[in-house]
Amino acid sequence: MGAILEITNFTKIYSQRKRAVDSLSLTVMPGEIHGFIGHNGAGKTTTIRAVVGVMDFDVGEILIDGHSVKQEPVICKALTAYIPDNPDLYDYVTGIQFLNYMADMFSVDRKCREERICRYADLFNITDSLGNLVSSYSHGMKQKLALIGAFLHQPKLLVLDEPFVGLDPEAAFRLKEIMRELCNQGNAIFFSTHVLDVAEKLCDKVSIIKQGKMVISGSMEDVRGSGSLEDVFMEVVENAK
Amino acid sequence: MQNKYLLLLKMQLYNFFGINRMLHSHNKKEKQRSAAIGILVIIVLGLMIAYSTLFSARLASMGDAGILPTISALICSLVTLVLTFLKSSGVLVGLRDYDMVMSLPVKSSDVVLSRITMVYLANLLVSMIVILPAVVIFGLNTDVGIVANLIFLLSILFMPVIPMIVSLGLGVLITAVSSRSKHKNIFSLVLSTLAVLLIVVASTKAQNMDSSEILNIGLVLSNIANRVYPPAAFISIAVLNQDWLYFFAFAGLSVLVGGIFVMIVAHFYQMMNTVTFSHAVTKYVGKPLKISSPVRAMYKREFDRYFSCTIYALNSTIGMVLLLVVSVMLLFISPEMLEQQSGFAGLSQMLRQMLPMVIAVFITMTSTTAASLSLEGKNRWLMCSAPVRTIDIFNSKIAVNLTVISPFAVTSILLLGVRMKVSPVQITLLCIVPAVYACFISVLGMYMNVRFPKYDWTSEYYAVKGGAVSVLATMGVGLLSSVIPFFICLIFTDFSTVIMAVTSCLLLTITATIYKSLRGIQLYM
Repeated sequence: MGAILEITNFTKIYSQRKRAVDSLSLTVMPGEIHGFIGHNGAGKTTTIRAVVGVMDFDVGEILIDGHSVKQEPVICKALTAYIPDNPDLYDYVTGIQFLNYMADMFSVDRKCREERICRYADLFNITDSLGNLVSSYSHGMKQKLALIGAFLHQPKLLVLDEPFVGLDPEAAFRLKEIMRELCNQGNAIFFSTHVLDVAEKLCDKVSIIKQGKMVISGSMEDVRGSGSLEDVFMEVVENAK
Repeated sequence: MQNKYLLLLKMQLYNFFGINRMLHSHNKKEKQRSAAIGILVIIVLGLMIAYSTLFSARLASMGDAGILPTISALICSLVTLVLTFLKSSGVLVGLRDYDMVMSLPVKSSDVVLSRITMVYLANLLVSMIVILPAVVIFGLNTDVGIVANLIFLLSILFMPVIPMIVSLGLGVLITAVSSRSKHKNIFSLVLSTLAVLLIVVASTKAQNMDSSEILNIGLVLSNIANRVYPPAAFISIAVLNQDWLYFFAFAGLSVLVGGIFVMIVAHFYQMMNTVTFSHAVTKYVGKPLKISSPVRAMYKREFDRYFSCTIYALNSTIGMVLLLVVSVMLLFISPEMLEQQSGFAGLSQMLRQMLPMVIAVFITMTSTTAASLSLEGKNRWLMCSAPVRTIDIFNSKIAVNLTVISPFAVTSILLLGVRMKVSPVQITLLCIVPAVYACFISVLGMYMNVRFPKYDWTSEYYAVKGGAVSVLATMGVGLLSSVIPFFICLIFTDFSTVIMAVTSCLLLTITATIYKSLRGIQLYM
């Protein structure tokens, strides 16, 4: 079975002096939850934005289910769902209009969209608010709405940048459930987080990036060894000083 | 320690005209852009001062410079009233930084006063443009003495206060009332369009008057102003009689009205913002969902965007609204009557021939596309990560502009075509020329916005107006593309059909070329 996400030698240079990401390679296999960890400014968001095709890059290759992000961006985007760290949504539409828009964009048929909207909105407790304008939503509600929008087409690859920030404990629990469920169906998840406890419990694989370079990547058991993920991360940070 | 009010004001002044950004940015392009905008602003201000000077000089040349204080107070008040009203909704309540500012250890009155001071400074600039030339002309054409001129000059400081407070009060009221409505922007759009139309119709009427009529209306206005707006009379009496008592009465009244307004708003400030930020909660009841293709879904969302932003809709549609108003007005004036009134033989025939170009001029003022990409702002991650071709994103935005133009253009073509009794050849041109211009301005606006996007705005105003290079460039190039052929047709009237046909072919080629270049663009964040 081929990798769902395959990053090879990805390099992003913002200016001649600064390499935001330097020769990064990793793979995410079907059914895998892959945690992407690093300190602030390490290059996590840059990598994620390149993966979902919202940022251009010159060096390296990124394949999603065998399709090149550079050569076939529309096919890759149709297979992917992306939630940025601070999802700004269209304030001038209602929650249901936003979800219907997302379903239209990903060509989800009527039966599936209605079923999935109903199910996920109930899970996240925002069904009653779907008729209200997004501008009236709290930060957490917007986050939930963005997540539902991402789940509607059951993406092969779900890319999340700090998905647990702003979610209440129940919503965070539901999100973890849905993530696991998606992976059990053969899809894959690639997400960044600073919450190491969550990463440790949830991820099958983990990659730690430091100053744009991959430091460690492997299965959770191999990476943490006999310690905790926090110990490994701190060791990496200490070695950097 | 610095006064809290001054600190708040200083922070707002940093954003005034983007001066701070220009001073501290290390981005060469941004600095160049700011400089270009600065030059443009200076040119516009210069033109406004020139127009104001000519107006005052014309009044003075008719022998009654004495009404200048009242008339300038009236004009200044009306301009302040309209301009403040147009942007009043986002000045006091519902601001994005409300939470941050109100969490600081400052009094509500300091916050309110600092906000109002910013509006006051902007209005003061307008007042100076209107009144300073009037003060000079008044001084040169009357022998009332230095004290009168000094009073007239000092009154500039207080003239904007009362109308500004009236508009702000109205704006706060509308915001509070409509905050629970989903259609508040449409409501606001209709009101704003009416206000702009009123100004345009009034100024057109003024331009068509001869000298005696202007003097007459000046006197009538002066009398009305003195009666219905006593502060205007205060200024007039203070200046003409060199009466400091009336001046201080006017200044005191302005300060008093301003002070009371600040106190009232400060008292209810938290409550007003709570009302504005709270929304009516309606329980959602599931209904069958309508399915659309991705392109159609984007097109529908673009329309929602169009109606969600008053300044965007108003700025990009006013040209077509004006076209419709002109078309309707011409229904009541026959071409022959127009010819008779103007004393210009052959005017009706010339109008018939020039009709397609006249419509084209209005169309080139209409481009929603020029700001459509900038307005994506922080939401653009949704657009960039959507599984659609970039050209489809552009197509949906272009389609919205064509949809906005079409109903106005078709109605106007029908009205004008029937009224002017045009020939079959003219009917063909009347259909082709506006259609070509509509495609051209839509594609041009899109191209300009791709080249000069402005995503980092704090208010939609800055994406649509306030120095949006793409909007200015589209307007400039668009108007040149219609005005130049218009004048060529005017000079070579006998060849106007050929000129319009050639222009259409040329523009169609340019449009196709620009569109082709858009197809090769990939959008990134």
